[in-house]
Amino acid sequence: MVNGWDPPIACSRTGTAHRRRGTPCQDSTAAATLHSSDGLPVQVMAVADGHGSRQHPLSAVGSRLACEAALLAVGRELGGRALAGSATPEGRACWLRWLAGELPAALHADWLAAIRRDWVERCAAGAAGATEPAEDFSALPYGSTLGLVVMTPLWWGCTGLGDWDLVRVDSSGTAQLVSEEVLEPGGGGDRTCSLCQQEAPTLCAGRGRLHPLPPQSGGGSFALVLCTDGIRKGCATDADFLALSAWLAEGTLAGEELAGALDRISAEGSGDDVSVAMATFRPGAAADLPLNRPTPSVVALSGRRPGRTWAVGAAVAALAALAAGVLALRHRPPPGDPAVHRLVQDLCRRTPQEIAGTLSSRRRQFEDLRRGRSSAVALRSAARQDPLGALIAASFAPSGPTMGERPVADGSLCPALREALRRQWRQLDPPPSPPPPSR
Amino acid sequence: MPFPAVRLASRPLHFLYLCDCSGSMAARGKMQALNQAIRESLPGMVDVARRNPEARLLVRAVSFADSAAWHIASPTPVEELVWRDLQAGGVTAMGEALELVAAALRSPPMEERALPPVLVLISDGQPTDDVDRGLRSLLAEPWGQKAVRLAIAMGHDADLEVLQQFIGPGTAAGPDRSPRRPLQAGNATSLARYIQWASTAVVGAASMPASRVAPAPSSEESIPLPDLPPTVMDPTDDVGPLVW
Repeated sequence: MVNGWDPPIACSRTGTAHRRRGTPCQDSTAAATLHSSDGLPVQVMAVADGHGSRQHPLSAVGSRLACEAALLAVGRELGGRALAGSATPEGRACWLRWLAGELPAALHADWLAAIRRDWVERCAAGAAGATEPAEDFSALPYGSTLGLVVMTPLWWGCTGLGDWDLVRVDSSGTAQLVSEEVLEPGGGGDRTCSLCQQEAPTLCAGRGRLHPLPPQSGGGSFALVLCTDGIRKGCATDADFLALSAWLAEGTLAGEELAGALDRISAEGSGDDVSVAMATFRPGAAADLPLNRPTPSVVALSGRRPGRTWAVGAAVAALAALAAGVLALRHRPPPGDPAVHRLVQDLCRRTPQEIAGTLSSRRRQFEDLRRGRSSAVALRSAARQDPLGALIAASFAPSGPTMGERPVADGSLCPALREALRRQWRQLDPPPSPPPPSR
Repeated sequence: MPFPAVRLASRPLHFLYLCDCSGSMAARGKMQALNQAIRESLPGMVDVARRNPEARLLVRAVSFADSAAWHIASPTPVEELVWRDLQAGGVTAMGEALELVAAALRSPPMEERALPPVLVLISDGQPTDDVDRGLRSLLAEPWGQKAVRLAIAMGHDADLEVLQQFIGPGTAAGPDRSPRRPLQAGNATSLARYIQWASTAVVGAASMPASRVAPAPSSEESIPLPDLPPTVMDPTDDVGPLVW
């Protein structure tokens, strides 16, 4: 948990109609923990929905690049701004202008540059979708919506364009639609605004919002549920949509369970691709943070492959590499890496049997470390791609027969996890020599 | 964690016939051909609905002669639809029919999450009432604008200009049998094929959830229409027992 906000969870699923027709998922999601220039952590989550029609044959790529551009633009912009001043109305007004104007312009420019690079590469490779010469680049084939939520210790805000929805669920489970696209009265059908429109940054202004957070002593917890239109259109009424959002926001769904729920929403509803990104704010949970935390870490970025869910290691690595040139990342190996932190929290919520099973699936890593076939340093350096491997490496003490006492994740291991790690290492220790027979 | 008790539902796809039942439709078997074509298209529509379960296909029909009235007033699931024959007699109150449909496309009763409706206007003659007013009423409704609007002219006496206004701007470059122009059915065979195409291929296309950029230029199709069947004959050919 970082400064009152749980790290966001994000998931995209290919719609049943698309699966039946063999078309790829047009949705993308992304979530990240970034930092302002004064070192305060900021959670960011994004969803994007490619249009998918004949005029937009590369919209699956467009939505993925939209999420990437959003994280990059937010990270870059935050790196040059201090959050401390946003405790005042004037400060918040400045950040609202950023959400409604400066940020959309920046991410739109980043997105256009990214899709242009993709277009040039496709033309050079003669890839599918690029039927025109490279000089005939157009944003139209990549058309996508984009919804973005930025969550700081002092406020949260949203921006973007298109038919995504944002729901706020309070601690009593009451859900409220706080942001939706309104094109015209009497129904929008399937029309939506798009990043491929020249005026996209201006269109984002209408969705830019900033909400101050209560002081730590006041206010209750709440969750934000950001989703693409496939979820709302799959519900019979808006009341059903809000109830569904409240259920998703309960925070107990993750991984395959969340993916299964989204699959059901698509199958029994609109058949469209479905995506959701969620985060929970808990007042009073803020910790005293050092002001010079340097390292953004990308939590999850969904890929474009049909049926793919979330936390794609390769995409995370690619995004981190892409961000490095802009953000001048300084990698901080574990212990203390946020990815390992989150893994430890997740494992410690499970039963001892589940923890043991998880570690047993990595038996080979324990063996390779013990036998010198792999490097603990290398595993720990790759914490973002393989946080479990980094945790195992952090528990390895090459000079001793048992698990090292090196603290992992600031000593936040629960007893069950600590014991399970020790048991794995004990199984690799040579058996004690039998005592010599007595004479 | 058990799934909550929320209602998930497929999206409604409203399909509306607007049928000319004027006295001229009684001549040369046109009314019988129209009834038969619609009745014979129903199994195909049921099949399309089954293959696109995310869209709930609901059929209605308006008849217009001296006045316009609902022939099938309630949006009827295509699986439950039993076609009752239309009868010919009277003049051609097409404008009133368009106003009737316009009222049905308001929200409510149109659902916010509905798919763009499909409207098929079938006529053999000239409107006898204020059709411009009816067109204005229809196109003033957002769902009227978003609807896939097709028109079938039976015979050579239909007012093609009015039918084109109903469809919307036609393609400047394209064959005369572009779906964006009135389809001219010169006999029962071609009528049946056009009805079959409108009720299956077009409905199938309309069932696919794909978003489009807004605001759209007026020439942009709300749904990319599938190609017309290649075996449709030119209306001037003598095909079939009766030529209109």
